[in-house]
Amino acid sequence: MPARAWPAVLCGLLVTLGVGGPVVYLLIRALGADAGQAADLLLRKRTFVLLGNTVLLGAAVLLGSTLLAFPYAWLTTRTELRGRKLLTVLGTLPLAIPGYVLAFVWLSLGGDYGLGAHVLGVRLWRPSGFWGAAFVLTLYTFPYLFLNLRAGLQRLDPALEEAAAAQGLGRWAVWRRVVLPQLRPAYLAGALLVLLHVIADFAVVSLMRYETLSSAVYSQYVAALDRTYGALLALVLVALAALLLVVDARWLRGRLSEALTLGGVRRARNVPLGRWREPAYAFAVGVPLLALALPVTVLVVWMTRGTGASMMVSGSFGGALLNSVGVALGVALLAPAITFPLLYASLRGRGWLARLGERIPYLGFGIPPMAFGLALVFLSVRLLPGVYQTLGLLVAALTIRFMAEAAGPLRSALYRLPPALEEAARSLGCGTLSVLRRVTGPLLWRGVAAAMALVFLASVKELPLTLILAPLGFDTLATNVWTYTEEALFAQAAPYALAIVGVAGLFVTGLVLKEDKWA
Amino acid sequence: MHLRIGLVLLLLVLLAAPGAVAAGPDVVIYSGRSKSLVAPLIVQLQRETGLKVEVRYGKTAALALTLQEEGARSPADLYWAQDAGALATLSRKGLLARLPEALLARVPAELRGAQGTWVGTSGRARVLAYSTRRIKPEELPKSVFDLTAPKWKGRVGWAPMNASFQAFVTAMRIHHGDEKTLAWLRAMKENGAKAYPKNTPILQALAAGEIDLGLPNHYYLLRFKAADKNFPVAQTTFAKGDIGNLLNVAGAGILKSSKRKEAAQRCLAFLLSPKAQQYFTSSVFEYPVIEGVIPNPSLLPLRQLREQAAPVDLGKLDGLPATLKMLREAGLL
Repeated sequence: MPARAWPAVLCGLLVTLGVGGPVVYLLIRALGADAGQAADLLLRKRTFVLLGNTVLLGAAVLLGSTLLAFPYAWLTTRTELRGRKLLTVLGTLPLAIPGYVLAFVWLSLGGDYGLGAHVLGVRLWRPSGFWGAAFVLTLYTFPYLFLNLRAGLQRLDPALEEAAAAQGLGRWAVWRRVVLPQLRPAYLAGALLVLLHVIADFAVVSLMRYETLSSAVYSQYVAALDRTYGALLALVLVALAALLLVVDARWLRGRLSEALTLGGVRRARNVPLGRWREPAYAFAVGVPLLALALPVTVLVVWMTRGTGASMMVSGSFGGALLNSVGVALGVALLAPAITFPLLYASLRGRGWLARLGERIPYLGFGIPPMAFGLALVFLSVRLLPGVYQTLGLLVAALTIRFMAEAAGPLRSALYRLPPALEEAARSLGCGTLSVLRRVTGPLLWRGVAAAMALVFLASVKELPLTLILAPLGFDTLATNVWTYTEEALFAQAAPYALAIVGVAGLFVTGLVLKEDKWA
Repeated sequence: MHLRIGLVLLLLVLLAAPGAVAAGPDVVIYSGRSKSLVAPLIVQLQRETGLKVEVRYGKTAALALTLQEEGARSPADLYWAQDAGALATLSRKGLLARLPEALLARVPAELRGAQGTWVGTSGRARVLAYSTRRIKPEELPKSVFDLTAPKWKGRVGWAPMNASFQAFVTAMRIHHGDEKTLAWLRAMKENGAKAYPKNTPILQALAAGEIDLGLPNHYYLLRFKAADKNFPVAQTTFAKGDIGNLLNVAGAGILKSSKRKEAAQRCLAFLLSPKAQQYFTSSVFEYPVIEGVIPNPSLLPLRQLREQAAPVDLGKLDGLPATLKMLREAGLL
């Protein structure tokens, strides 16, 4: 083991520096706070109300996205439903639409003067408050669960289920006692992302006029332009994320060994839908209609309205497209690459260090983006002035931040990889790279693909870190969407938003089509 | 095979990353003003001054925070903010240099910082926006203080997190005192005022029927109207002298840490030139801060607006910390 441990140690160090640096920065800033003022800010009724709101919203969004993602993942992996590949891509893409754009889309549909009233002559619901935030965030985040569950379902060994059925268990009992326990790591990985996302979200909740703890962080940073108390409140969010990580780890523990079965999985038989055929199709088509087709249609309507469509052509559309794709590709390769050795060593290892190594990739996602960006400004300007405002720093920052998105699918894939298999390959004379290419790689590919898809989607629409850390004059599709939306120029914003969805669609389609070559 | 391609790509990304630094610009502007609005002006600026300008576009607040973190090592020369509050904050933290008299003199005293560290570059008015479907002009309140009446319960939208709104609250504090302002904020909250994160959603909510009155800046409606003539919202001012009629500015200042102050001053001078000021009013629907600019016919004339507005010195709008404390006290932040 020691001879093979160095990539994990190296990645572990890099990741720890990347995540630990910003946390240290927040501590430095927060230590500058005046105790009395800090207490005034933190220990007031409002903080607890906001905490309650955050927990409530997290629970609702998790429930909603579970109800969407579970059947959707099952239908697209285990049934004879047609168009499963297409539905997989469509069920992933809601993640490509920036959250605030999605919120604006839903706001523009409802009400007296909404698109619903214009086109259908019906006054549609205009989402707002708790239910509005829960609704929009559910449609936005369920792909996290879907992709993780899908990767989990694909790695299940159908032999276990068949054995259970042969022992006389009914279909539901097989699900409850054989399938669900095995899906637990995948589910928890997706759920963790959903919850971390809800904790960090400000764009959607603020447009829905629902206040969570992140509203408090933003009001310090954005309204007060204050680094000290902003950092203090950001640490509260980090603590909340850390708590979630600890709880999640407890739920996971003990399940791992159960989940480890021999590899060499054969494809499960596709279940016939029978009399559930119509509802299944309605659901499988309905979800992407609501979560993707509808927002995209609204974007197209925006684009065709308004007078300024010509502005976009004259703008730097091509450059922004290239920049977005370049950065997102780089991060989609780097984030899984750096997370993998760490998870590999953690899952094979024992003790607190291994446990910490497995958790730490998530923490980057738990730091509010504004705080994370300012931390990297602070650190790079002081320690490495040469990298400040370079593309390298931006890619590194996004890599650290989005390791969390890669971790779930990679972890699911690794659970299915029995160490004995590698050892066998090694004993037959395969070198490390050869084992990776011929044995581990093919078995892991689906997990790696899902990880890359999630990271790509997150990076291609990323805004706050890009705005703070990108090189001078560097713009992306996402920064263009923002600059137009900010000024209520929706017609001009729409083509850039559509381009994000398009690019993401191509990337995810490519990955999904590749799956068969490996499996 | 795939692995090898992946590794090669990875290497390329890593190698290409540091190469992104090109030959240095003459001036670096940190702009909180949107690229979608000011990019044409930057092109013109480069043509007129012959300077090579690089702009970092971002959110006014995030840039102000970034500048604080960068401190003396900041690559920025000029900071262009959407609101006076951010400029006043940076000035208070000692990050802005004093501007030459010649530049300051171009702008009326009430539209620049009291310490001479920043000038307004364009004006924006606080207005009363209303739904044309549900409100008759004669019903409109005459003062921002009337909005606490039972009649408007749950019908008013505002944006407590927005810098322009906070400037308005500061103005109210200067003009009417802290006690009255806090009482007003509390009464508004009591009366069910709906809090939006910024101005755009206020206008959308007015059209959608979620609210009937709103307190935004003046130019957003003009953009909605440009895209859709029938957009069912109109705006007006309160009665003459009411604090609700504040005239606010977007402005710019030069960083103390800048080593290219002379070039930065030339940029600032351009932003105050008749050509740039004409662009602000004709294309961005804002108010010029200098005389001799042809007014935009879709705007209420500046002279009339200034007559309507309560007399508040924007240079003194430096009370942001106290305003925020009050907003927190009122349970709005």
